[in-house]
Amino acid sequence: MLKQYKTSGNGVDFDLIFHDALTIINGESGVGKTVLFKALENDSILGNLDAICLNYDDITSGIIDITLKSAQNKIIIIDNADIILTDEQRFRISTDQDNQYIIFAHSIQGMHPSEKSIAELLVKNNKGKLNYVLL
Amino acid sequence: MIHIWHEDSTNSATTQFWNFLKNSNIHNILINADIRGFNSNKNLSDYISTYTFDNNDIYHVFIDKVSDNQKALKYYVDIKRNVSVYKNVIVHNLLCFEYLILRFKYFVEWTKPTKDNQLYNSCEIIRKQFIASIDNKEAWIKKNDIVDFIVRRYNIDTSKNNWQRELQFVSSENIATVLLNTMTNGGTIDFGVSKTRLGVCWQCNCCIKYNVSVIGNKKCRIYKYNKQTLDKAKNLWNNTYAKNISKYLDK
Repeated sequence: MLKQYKTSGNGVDFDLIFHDALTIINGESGVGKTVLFKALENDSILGNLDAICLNYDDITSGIIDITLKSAQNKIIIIDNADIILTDEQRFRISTDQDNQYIIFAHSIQGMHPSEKSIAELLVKNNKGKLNYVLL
Repeated sequence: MIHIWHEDSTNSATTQFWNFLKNSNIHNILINADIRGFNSNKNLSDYISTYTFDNNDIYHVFIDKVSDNQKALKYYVDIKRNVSVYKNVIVHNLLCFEYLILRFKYFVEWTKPTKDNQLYNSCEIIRKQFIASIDNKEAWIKKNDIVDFIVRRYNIDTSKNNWQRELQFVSSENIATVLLNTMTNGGTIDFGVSKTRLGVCWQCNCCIKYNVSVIGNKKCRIYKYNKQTLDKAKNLWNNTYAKNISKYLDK
């Protein structure tokens, strides 16, 4: 499991700590969640991060379903999960023991997170970190 | 003075539990404690958001810490934020009142039916797994036995498409409530705990004679322990989460 990851985007340095195979990242609008997702996506494309990044553009292609059904030992990063995930996909994520998920969402509905899963993104002085509100 | 504020109702099992401990005089800290139920997490959150805390008092806030219930989570986080500047306001780290009871060290010894009870025994297996998952901060949804229990309890038809949708609305607090209800309300035993009832066997002298009731014709199953009210209060205080409030000494 990826426990720590550092990346940067738009002048912000992110230092991310993960405590669980499922991390749901929330945060106020404008705090930098999209910037962080983009940074992770870029790292994935460049091969710096072995992850599959999914977002709104992937809804129609069916790639989300295929990924969730077939991925093994992967890091799967999903932006705008409130909109793009179906109930079945949420359930699959919540019960998946094979992959790690980093999910950007406002709602936890259907994903049954533990206390270690719920994080909010905080950015201060161009430093970004995850704050686990229940830990 | 200490305040014990919780989200359950004014006549809830939670209020009865704290009042029982207070009235049993088992700890100085509870003397004159202000025990108050606010009838909902929203009411408690709203009240706290505008309340001026007295620096001379200690406030114990019990609001359900449910990581898998969006609404409950919101109120918990709101309260935590609102009181973060106060050192004398403690927001407790407890799933819910039902979990406090389920986690009681002698829960099984006190509540187990004398005759072999298959339902109770199967729930006991789930109770252990559930406690482990909560204590280890793990998601219960990954425990197949717990999922099977919930599927059976809510009669969810897993052959239907999208049956998982029905599980969406089951939170860890729901599981604690269902387990406690199932394990304490069966048969004639009067350890029943519901939202508004803390069974008399939790709070009264045990029957002195076999099958003699503490209040009429109910059979008390822990007659063999012959525990008196004060013993029970001490046991509940020393072996549940309740004792944690004594870590924060009254001023």
